[in-house]
Amino acid sequence: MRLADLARYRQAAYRLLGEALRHPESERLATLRVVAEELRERPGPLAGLAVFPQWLELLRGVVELADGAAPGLDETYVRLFVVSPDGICPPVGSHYLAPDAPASVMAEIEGEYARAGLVLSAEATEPPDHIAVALDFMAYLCAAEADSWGQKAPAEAATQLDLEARFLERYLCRWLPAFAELIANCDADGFYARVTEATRNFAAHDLEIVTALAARFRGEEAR
Amino acid sequence: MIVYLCRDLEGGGLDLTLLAGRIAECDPQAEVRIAPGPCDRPERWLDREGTPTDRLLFGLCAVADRGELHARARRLGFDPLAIEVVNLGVSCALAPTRAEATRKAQALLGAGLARSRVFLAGGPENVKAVFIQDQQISRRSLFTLPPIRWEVVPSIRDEACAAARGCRACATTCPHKALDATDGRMVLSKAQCMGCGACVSACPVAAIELPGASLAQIEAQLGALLGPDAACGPRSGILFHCSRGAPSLSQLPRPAAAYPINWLPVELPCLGMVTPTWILHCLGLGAAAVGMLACRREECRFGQRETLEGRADYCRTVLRALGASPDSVRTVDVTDKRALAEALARPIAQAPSPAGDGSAGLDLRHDHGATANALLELAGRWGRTPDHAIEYLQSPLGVVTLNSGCTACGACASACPTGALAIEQNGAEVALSFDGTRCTACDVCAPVCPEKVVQVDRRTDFRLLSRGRHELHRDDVVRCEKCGGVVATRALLDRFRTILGDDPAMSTITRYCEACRGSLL
Repeated sequence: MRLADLARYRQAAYRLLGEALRHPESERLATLRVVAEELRERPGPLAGLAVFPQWLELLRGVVELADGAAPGLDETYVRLFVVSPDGICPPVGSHYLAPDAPASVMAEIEGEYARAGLVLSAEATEPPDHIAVALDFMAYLCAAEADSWGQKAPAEAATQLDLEARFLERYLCRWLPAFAELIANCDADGFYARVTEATRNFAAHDLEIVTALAARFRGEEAR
Repeated sequence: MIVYLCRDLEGGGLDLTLLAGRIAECDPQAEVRIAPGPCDRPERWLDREGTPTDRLLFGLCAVADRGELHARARRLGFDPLAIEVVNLGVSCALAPTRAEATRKAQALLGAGLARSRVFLAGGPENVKAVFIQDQQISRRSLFTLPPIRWEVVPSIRDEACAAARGCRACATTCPHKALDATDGRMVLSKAQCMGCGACVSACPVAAIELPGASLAQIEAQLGALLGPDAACGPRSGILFHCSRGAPSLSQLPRPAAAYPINWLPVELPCLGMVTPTWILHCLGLGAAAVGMLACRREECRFGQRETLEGRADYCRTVLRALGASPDSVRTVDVTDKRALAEALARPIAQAPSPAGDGSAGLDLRHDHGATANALLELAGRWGRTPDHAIEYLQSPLGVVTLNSGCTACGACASACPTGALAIEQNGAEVALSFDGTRCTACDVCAPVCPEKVVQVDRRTDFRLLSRGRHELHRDDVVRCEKCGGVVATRALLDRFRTILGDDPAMSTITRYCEACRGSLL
């Protein structure tokens, strides 16, 4: 199996998770269903991952979303993520990492984006520490990694792997467990509980793979 | 739950129709499917559409490669660790008659069902990616993903872990130094962990989970094999082995009638998991013997043979003290087929009185007094309580004593991970008590004692176990002159006086509680 393919599939997975955690408009849900169906039918290298059974479960959940699911999901989304006092699961990293100093987390994460050559658009409606933005960023890093493997530039790909591992370890995997647990308590067995649990598992598992791949590359480079 | 039985077992000496009926009686939820199929490819039987459950149990003639089964299970969306595989071909071949072989198969499948019922799926923290490297490294290999083997590693439930109180039982036991306490949390290094499971059985508060070999699964398995509903009867022995055990058993000569004990195999990641508590509990529940098929010292990849020998030797010492045969606990090299056949064939003396009905279930948790419960059960069965303590380096139990100078400050009780030490205030007095049934000699209490009067000895004292919780020290409580709250024990204030002498602060310290002292200032 080619590492470029693995990176492309990981990119797709992060994109799907990021979109699933955005506002559930009908059009977005329809696209999600199509993508989930495609990934279920052709899982590619994702089928070899230890986290695949949970991933398949999530895809099944997305595919089985009813046509008229949007209004109900919209209500849940707003209750969980938007309004207070019931909006008790903020989908932003700063709430979990430094609730008293959110600006420091946002500055740190923008620094991570800048390290990869990205700046947040002035038109962005979501804060930089929003879960969907962070997952989009991981998708971007995976795409860059896939390009590097495709261009037969393993050193560049290894640099991307290091950036992925760094972002997952220092940021995403530090707050996703608390976020997922909070949603599980507020939306037990609901769609968002499944998505956040899958995101937590996928990110933690991805860190394991990315770290091992980066170590493998360094090991072979040392030879 | 779906139970698949290989049709070929019929020819191997099992009555599958009878077996299926008994499984259905034992678990009405279980659906038994007898299917023809090569046992070396059980993964072919996996069918997502036709299998509406994740819980599967395979009863097979032999298992060639579980790696393929797990990989295919994963691809189809099954949790591979939720799939139990029982190697009936090897295990039941040791039974002398068709009826006994079927009864044994029933016992083993029943234990598999029990394990499956309590299985809890792990998360990504329980998975370690290991690349299976090619011998030849080429430029092309840089661009391809090498085959990955997913190893299972334990995870720690922080909310239950006693590391913040100073407990290091798992870290001390780990043969690969994969556990370390950081900021009061026990942290596992996946890179160093080899998944042997030694930490799982060492943890005094059952805070470590190893999916597939969790404490709950072991308890369920042993409970089913030896409990009141066990199918195999009184002359059963438990045979612990690692993944290398099944091939050795399959190569044994088959004068089946010569085996006087009905050996029931229990596979573990490594025999380093087997503690004296487990061995003694098996015997207490009525096992005629406990055997351990161990790797040779130089061959055990976890380096646990010596530890295992020490633990087995401790158990033999206990059995001797009880007047029982130390031969009830046997260790044998897994590669020494002659010694293995001989060890399995040796008869054994039964205890004079039968085991209890085991209806209370099996509880292997140290903080629930597991070792002591097993010892007292055995003492009852053999009708003897040794009047001398057993001093032994591998004793899983300890005894805490106090030298003079205790101030009843309670630091030791706060630190004790199992609750063996407890401090209780009763009216005008405070009492420090000790329950020897819960002490694991972890030695967390001694270093935290400010007066250095706590002493921990690693020994097994039956009289102390029978005594239960008893008082070690008692002292008066001095109350606050302002609010009536507790200031400290009298001995602690006397200690302050010794240190501070005529310091003017003493008159406030000895008369008012901490809160009132603050308001006075």
